[in-house]
Amino acid sequence: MKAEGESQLIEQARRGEIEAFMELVKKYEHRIFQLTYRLSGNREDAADLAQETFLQAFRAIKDFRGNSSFHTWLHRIAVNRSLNFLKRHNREKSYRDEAGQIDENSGRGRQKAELKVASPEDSSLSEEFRAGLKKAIEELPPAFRATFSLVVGQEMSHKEAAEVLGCSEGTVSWRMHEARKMLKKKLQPFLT
Amino acid sequence: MECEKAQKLISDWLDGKLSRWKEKKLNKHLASCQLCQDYLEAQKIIQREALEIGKVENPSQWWLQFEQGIRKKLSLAGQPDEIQIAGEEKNNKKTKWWNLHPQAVRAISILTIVVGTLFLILYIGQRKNSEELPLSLMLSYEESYFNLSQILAQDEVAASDFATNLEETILEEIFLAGGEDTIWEVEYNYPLNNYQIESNDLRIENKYSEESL
Repeated sequence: MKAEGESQLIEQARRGEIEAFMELVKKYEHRIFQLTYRLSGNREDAADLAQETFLQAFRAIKDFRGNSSFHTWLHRIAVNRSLNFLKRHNREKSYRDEAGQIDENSGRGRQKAELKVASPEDSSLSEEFRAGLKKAIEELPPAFRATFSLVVGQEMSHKEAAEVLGCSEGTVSWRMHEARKMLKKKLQPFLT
Repeated sequence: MECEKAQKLISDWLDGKLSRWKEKKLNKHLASCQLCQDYLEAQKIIQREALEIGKVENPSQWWLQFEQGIRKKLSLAGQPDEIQIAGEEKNNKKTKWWNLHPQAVRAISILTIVVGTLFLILYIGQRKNSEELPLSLMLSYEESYFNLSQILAQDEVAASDFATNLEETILEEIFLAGGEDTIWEVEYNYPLNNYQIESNDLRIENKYSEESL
């Protein structure tokens, strides 16, 4: 879909044309769902948050003035909603339904066995490492989690992430560095 | 180069944000630092796996249902401003005036800090020495600021580097003092309109933005 076509759809959606807005939904639903999934940690909440994101976007589309791209604007709504959701519901353990329970002690107990599996030369990492990584990401402070999800998960540049988060590129860069340090520290038992 | 700085460069490199000359500096450090080499390898693994674990595939039927859910709610509402979103009732509380005018709040805060600091310096200085600040000292400060502003006004790269370094230092201080968490404990509500990025603007107050959708 060309930008011109998108502008037209936005204009039509502004006039309340649902089908035009649904075209925008179809274009962005996968990326928005991926983001809400990364932030909420489970499919059900991610689906609800993605739907709410689009409903909120439709409601607010009259106020969208194109100062940022529609893509950025939509991501900003999704981040706002997801972080507020996490704050309200205190969903620290939300990844567990799909990641399974993580026994930190057993992880440490198997440290030596995992070292080999998690070494840089090995292409397939253990499920336990992945579960540990999910948990570590989940435990990042909200601002860092959102930044990490946008840059690594959504593969955004620092500039794009900064636009979504309403901060400077320097802040994104610094948060990424701190987030990586925190993750490395928590995953130390798995890494050589 | 210190390892901490090298690891910050590694992070930027992983995000494709490192300039060539910084990459050169990093490579030079990596050649002689096993610790940072290991750090880089560990971060590569984390990066790769983090990208994979968040990928979820849904069948096409699932997406149809997802779209139908949205379409149904939109049809029921009729017009954009009639949409009701679950769990939003609590957010409809009256917005405070300071949330509506973040720029004004920032300006007032900075002005208060500057005036307060000047007052304290002059007042305490006078009380302590019973003398006024030496004129030569005040002029040398003024000259330094003037020179700095001249350099920054003429050199965009220097201005950008100066702003980035200053910002990172401030953010690091905030983080070390536990301030980042405190800042983010408010309602997340980034501004959705009229947003302009300025690289030398911290915009911390954006987290308290007024616009609620």
